[in-house]
Amino acid sequence: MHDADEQQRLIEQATQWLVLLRSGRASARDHQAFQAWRGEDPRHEQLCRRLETTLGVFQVPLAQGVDGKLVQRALQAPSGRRRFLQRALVGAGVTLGVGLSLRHTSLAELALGADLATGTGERQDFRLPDGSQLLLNAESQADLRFDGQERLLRWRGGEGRLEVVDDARPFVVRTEAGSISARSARLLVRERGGQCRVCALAGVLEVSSLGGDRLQLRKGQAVSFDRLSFAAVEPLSGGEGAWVDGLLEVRDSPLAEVIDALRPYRRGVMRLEPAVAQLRVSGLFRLDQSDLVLEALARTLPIRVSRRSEYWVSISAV
Amino acid sequence: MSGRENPHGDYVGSLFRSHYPWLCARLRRHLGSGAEDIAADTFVQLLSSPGVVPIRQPRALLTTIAQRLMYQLWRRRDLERAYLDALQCEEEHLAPSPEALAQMLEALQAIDALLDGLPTKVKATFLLSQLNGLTYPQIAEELGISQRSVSDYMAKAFHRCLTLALD
Repeated sequence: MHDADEQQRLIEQATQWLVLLRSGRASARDHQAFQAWRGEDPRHEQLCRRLETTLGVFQVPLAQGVDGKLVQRALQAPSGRRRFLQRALVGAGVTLGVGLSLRHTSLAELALGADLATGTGERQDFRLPDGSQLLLNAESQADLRFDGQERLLRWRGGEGRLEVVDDARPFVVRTEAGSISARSARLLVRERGGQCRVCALAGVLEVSSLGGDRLQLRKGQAVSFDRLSFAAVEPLSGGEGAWVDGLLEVRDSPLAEVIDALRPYRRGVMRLEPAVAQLRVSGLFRLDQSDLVLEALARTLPIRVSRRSEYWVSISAV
Repeated sequence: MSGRENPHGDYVGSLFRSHYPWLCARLRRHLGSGAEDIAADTFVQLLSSPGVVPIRQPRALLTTIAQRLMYQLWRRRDLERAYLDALQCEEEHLAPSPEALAQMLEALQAIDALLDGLPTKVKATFLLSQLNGLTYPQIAEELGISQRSVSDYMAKAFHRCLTLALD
């Protein structure tokens, strides 16, 4: 008991010293006084040494000259998958936070509020509570919000193929750009940076932009839209769903589109110089072998692919 | 005494034989790759904590350990992605070597663990002091907060670091 109090007192004292010493206003006398405090008791000395060890985690960024703001931005990485996991593992007989009340609920209820997500290079099939199927492409996320009125899938980004089974409730996919609703249909949806693209593979889809524009998409049609407007409805080219089999099929498409399709399959940075982004590409590529794809592109297009490291690839004009 | 006596190791070994495939299958539903690694690490952790014998609900414990390992793995990936994204916005000549990057990603995970749970502004303040060597007036200006807040935030951060240092 006393030990714990004593330890708290020590921590308070040391904190006061450190806050002063780092302020930029500490005088030479302050530094001397701190050294005297440090030396007057072995416990003070031990605490200071342990703190130095703990702060050793900053040695690498200091040695590499990494800006504190850069580290700060990285630490703000969202950890959305934590919540998903908490629910996903319930059922093993463990109580994890809310797990106790969920243990005996049905799968449909369990899936409420679950985040569906895939990582780099992963594709995963999810069976939804109504029996619909969602196949998520790499680096894609969606939230399930099913209730008595509607089956809502909140699209948080990425690409997926959805097989909607018939149900009294409408199935709605809500993206940043607008929403897509269906009763029974098969569709592809992709959303990146506010740009949404929907392909109707079977059935009829009602598509509406956030701005309130609406249109009906029939089997074999595709449309791109953002918050404000729709592009022209186009017939499907046939290659849109190739990613389901791990393939990328393009016909006379801009290089930027090919690189964007590869990004979810690679860790690290791929820089594409704007000067070459609109070069036309046709072909069938394996998403899982993005290095080979880049090699093939470098052989057939006037581009140079330079690798600074495994994580850092630049694509520029020759 | 027999030549080799390791009841804990034998016990974990028997758990491994009866539950490893189950754990792999369970993890595979949530991890595209690496399920086997996490499952194996789970038993390694169990092996290095001799106080757990006998376990009444081994699967519950295994799930708890595996869950923690998965958190760490996912957090590492999230951090890695965010750091690389942030790097991408920097000047191109900053592209680090693979070794430097690997070291940095490891350090990032340790920093994340050290500062986990502290408010964003406290983290920002501490990092500007620790990595950029800014004085409190400079930090106050950089973050648009008062110098008084900077002192308070530094105290919070040091208090955390000192508490963990004594653990």
